[in-house]
Amino acid sequence: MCAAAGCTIGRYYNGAPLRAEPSAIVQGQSTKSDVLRQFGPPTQIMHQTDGDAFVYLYEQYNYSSFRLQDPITRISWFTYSRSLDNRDRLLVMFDFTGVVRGVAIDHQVAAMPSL
Amino acid sequence: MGLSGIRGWGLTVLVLATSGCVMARTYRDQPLDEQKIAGIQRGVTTKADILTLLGPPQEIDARELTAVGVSFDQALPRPGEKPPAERLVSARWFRYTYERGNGMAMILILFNYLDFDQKNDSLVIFFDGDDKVEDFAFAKDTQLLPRYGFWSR
Repeated sequence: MCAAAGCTIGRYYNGAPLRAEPSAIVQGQSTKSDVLRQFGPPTQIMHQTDGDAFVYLYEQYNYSSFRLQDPITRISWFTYSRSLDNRDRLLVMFDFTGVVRGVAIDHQVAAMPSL
Repeated sequence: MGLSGIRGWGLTVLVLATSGCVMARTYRDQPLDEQKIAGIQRGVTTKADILTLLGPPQEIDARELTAVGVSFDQALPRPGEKPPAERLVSARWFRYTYERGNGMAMILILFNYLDFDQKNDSLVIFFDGDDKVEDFAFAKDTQLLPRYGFWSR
């Protein structure tokens, strides 16, 4: 039996990795200026009833597929594909005076499997 | 070189001859002038100065506008679109961006690899109640783009 097999690997990156360690932000002490200086412009700026919030995002999308195909009729006999869309997210919340009142971090990109 | 060696070379030539490489570049808006950005002073430069210096921003704060019944979509201009002056009056922050994307792909007989990286230069400027620059941040992330995808990552 003769078959044509093919693999595809795709990578999509959006944004830049975080510029500093989130541990540099001290709740109740760091200010909006400190965060801007250390992390640069936020990806999103949100207004809340009790102050602003900055969101920093870095996204990576990994795709891989394996296809088994009839070389003459081009009919696919078998296809396996997998895609992973993960993001590193940093949320910094401020009070009305611009002092940090909350930080949340989620590192997903480094934990992604390569295939 | 034996028969198997000749076959091996023949297969290599066949693969190379029937493979393809793709490179792609995308650009949105214009690069931000770093000399102009260096001239911005906290507590001194006004909102009007910023508009004169850098032109209309790609994104503006929409909080006040939504509060008076203007929808979020109307408040955010599309890239390249000049927002009406009245939309800028009450904005508390402006964002200027320059976006680039670098992509590459290898199309072989049995294996394909695609890689696309998108980054942007971003300048965010916050204003105080007197419409003077309270704070700002600039990041030039486009310089982090890999030129040849996987090979230069």
